[in-house]
Amino acid sequence: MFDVSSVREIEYGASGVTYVYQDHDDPKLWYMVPVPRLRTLDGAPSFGLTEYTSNGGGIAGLCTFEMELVQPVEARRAAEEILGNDISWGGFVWVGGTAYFYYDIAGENQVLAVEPTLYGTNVAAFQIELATPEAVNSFKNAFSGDAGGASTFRVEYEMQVLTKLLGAKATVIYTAEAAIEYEKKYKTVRDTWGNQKQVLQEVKQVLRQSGAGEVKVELGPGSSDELAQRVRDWGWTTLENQVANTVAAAAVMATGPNPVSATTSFNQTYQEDTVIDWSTPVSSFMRRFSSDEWKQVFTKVDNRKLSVVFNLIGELNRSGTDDPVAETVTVTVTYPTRKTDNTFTLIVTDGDQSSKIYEAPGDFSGGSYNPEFTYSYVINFKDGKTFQSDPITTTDTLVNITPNVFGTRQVTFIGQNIPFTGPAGVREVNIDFFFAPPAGNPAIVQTKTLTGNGVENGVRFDSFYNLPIGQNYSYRLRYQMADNSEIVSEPPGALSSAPDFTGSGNADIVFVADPKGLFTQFTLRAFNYTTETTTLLLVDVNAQYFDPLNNGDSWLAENTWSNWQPTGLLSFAEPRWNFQAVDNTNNAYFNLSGTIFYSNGESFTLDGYRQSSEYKTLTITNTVQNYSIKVDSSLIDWTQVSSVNLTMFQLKPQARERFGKSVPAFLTRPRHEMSRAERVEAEASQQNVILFSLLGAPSGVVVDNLERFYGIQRPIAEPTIEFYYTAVYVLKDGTTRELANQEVSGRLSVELPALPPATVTPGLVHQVIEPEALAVRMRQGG
Amino acid sequence: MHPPIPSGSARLQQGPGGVSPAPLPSLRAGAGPAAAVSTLDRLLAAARIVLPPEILKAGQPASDLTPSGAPLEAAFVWADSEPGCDPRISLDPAPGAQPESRLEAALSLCRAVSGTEPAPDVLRLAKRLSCWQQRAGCRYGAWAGLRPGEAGGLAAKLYLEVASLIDAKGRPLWAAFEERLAGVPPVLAGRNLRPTMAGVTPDGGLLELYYRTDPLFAGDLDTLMTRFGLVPRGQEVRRLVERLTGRSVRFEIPSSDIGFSVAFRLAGEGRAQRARAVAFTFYSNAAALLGPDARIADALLAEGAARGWDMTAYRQAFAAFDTWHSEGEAPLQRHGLIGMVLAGEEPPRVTATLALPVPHTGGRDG
Repeated sequence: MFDVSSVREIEYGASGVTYVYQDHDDPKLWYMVPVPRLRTLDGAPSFGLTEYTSNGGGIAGLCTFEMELVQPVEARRAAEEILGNDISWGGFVWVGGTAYFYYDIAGENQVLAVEPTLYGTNVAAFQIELATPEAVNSFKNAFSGDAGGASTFRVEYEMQVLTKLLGAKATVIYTAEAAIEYEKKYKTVRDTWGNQKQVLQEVKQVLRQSGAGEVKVELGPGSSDELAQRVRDWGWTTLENQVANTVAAAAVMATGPNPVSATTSFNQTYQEDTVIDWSTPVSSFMRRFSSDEWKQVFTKVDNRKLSVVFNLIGELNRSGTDDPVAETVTVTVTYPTRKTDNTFTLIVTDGDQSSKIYEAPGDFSGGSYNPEFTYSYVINFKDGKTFQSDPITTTDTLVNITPNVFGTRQVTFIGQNIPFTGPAGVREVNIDFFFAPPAGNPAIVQTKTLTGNGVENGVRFDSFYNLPIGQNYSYRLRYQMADNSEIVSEPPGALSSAPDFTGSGNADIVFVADPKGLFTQFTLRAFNYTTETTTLLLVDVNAQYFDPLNNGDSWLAENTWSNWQPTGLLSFAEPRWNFQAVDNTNNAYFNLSGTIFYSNGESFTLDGYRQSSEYKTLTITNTVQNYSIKVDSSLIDWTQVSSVNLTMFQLKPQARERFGKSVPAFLTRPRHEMSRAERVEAEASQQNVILFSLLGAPSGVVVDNLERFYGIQRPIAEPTIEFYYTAVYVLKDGTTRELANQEVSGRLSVELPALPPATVTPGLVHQVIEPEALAVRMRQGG
Repeated sequence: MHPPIPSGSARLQQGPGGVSPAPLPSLRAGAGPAAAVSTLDRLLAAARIVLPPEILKAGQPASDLTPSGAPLEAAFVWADSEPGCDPRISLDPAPGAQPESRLEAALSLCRAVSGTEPAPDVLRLAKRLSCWQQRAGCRYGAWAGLRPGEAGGLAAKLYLEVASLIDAKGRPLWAAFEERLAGVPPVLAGRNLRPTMAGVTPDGGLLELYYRTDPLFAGDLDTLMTRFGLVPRGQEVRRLVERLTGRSVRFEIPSSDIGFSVAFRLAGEGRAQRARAVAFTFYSNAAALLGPDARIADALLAEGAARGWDMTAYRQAFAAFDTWHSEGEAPLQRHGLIGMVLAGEEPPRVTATLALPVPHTGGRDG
């Protein structure tokens, strides 16, 4: 393992800079951070820019290229001049990463993020559809020119590698109030929050300029200022990614126009010796092509072509043995204009043959460009077995074949700073782990025990099925305390496009932290829309935090806001409510009671309104009223069921009208499992999405049948409450069952059945509460 | 999308770097505070004589000069080898007025300070840029600057907004003006470089052109300095930014709002005029680089302490903050810019600007 405190900056060539780290144990072993370079295939640059002169099918051009990470010879030479010729070079073991392409179109900065392969030379394939002739010109100007030299466009890799934080302690802090204040100030010119990879650039600016981000570094004895700077760099990258995830999650879950205002503050301290995923961003400008090369890489054609990038990404070696999980993947693409020579082979873990840019003449037989194609693949495993996929029809131009497609799951739990000593410490951590196996394989909750911090004590769950599995998994941490008590911490299901724990498909690291004392913040915010004549006048709210799994029926923390008068478009009840709690967002909840008074003399009673603690903001507006839906899981037959995933959502008003009774089935899936077109549709039509992941227990442990709560909004102008849900039951025999398409009315609760019948067609439950039924319910409640 | 560059962005008024200010006499003995008078206080006391009475009155419209709306802004300039902080002030001579009126007010102030009419070239430039402003539309038109003068008095500087007026071919009119000054074709076409303001001394001897740009990389600064025939010193800017932010600058300079200026020494008149670049100054909006005021002050004071700069005047001016804004009102950003002045091979100078409260009018006794 390399030693972060040994970092040295190496300058090489005309303006190159990279970093080297010394091995923790072997002083002659060094690691160099590689730098991005345009990939070369058969001596030619892996780059193509196409301009469409007439039938662009909605676009004016297309740019496709591949980058990779290399250690430049001259950088090694420069390093060896400083470090000595007798050193040897080690290789980083990447645990995650993202490659960003920074470009601009007619002066507007843009960024595209993709996942690199994580093996070989970390190939990252980019494909950019250029919508307008101006965009094509921007690319032509950036990559051509008589003089050659550097382009203004660049590629940055942000790769993560496990190591220990040595010689320093770091605290990363996000102060939501400052970010929100800043957003309010600039809201008229900045509104690009959305997808996580896209928000990251904005997050960087907001964190810096608003003062919402802070990284404190305390150096240990003898540590250098240079280490402080590197640790601060790492802390900022960590903070930026965490905030970007928070904003992305808020965007999926929240209603209301501003996801930033639904974020809450956090801070996290990384003690010295803690295992961390060290990040080492590296960047290179791309190059301009000489006029001879330009003739090869630039083409001008009449009609748009089909161009699809196929990519094998993720950890495709078996942990322990380093054997590849499969030999090859043979892909066949079906598209009307190319019916022969339409099969190619990708070689697993061979970085040179792990991606393919597949092209075919555009199909205009229907009068316009047809973007839809079908592909299927055959996986050839080492033992001679094969797996033939079903045909998949899509318009996605980037197809990532991830480890779960090979039936591979490798998740490692690493203790970060668990207090394993002392009378109030942790004796051990039992980890209950579950994922849905391929059909026909037993599906059980596995349990393993973690007894020490650090990589060397990590606990790994790995499975190799040779049959595809889903991307999701769930887990529960049961801390056995030295005083024989138990603390349970269970994360929520991963919903957003930036799930915390499913980054590379499934070769993930989960850091296990001290269970106690997680800083929690709850925010009560109000939107007073000026389009309405009736405004919010006064709010009285009492809030309580319950964690029944850890503390039974009593509340753990409480706060009251009395006589709060919301002002302006967006306002917050002050002070924010901060408290310490166990990180158990899967089933802890907030209980809120109080009264909201409107300017027209009417009022609304929050009577035991409850919402999941995953969502730490309650939004009150003059256009909606808040109700909670109780999810009763007590009927589930845990003798047969291993896990239930319950997805609940509401539709935006315009989507409700558009879909009518035909709500698309893909809306029930997590965003990261959707195609690009589906994701766009989901973002435009869904709101208030939540995923409850209900996990059975390993043998000998009793399942706690906990209630969950879904906070819901009813537009004041629309007296009917409507929401949708679907539940997927994974049985212990590996089969799955789902709820049938159905309409339910009149209930403010969801009752999950013991087991859905085996014969039903999976569907969506549409639940409606008419005003009369609602009035009766509220009278009963009040 | 970036927030609009706050007013006051590219309007520091340091000279070409190497000119040390003359010691400031007490221009109005007895008029200033009795003790612990900073060099900035003395400059302000001297400036009060020539400031337009309007801006000293309470209840004036907010000025576009500074993000906080104050019509006055101080600039501090520090260097390892120099005592003091070489303070200057810039000001909005007519808050709330139309650009043409503000230009007239700024010219009047220049006349009052120097006691003479500005040089014909300066008036021609003002007229030309004012014409562009009227045709293309503009934000403020002009500002004025004051600094310690050669003979113990004051020296003025006139700042003129460079409006983006396009000719029939779609080319901005400033392009030819800029290229004539630089003497060589532009560089870094992809960085969206555009001049936004010109600063000129009333005698016409020194002209500083202020540019705004898209995000720059440290290497870009070398390219820019080389274009103007200056020694490439981008690494010094990179190191300063690293020290101030405590973070590495590996890629672009970490600010969403940056620019630079080039000071030209002018010789000759009319068409025979020749320009020679003498200093390059890198600028960033202070908040975009370092965040809220308190963090900017912490970073500057730490850097000043490490390098032995005289931070007294800056500290005092910043401390005035607490008593400035109204009770219950969120404080507005007071820092404007942070920059580094690189003149030839002379030691680098670091500069920062700070909006100032309007001086008390009660103290004016003559």
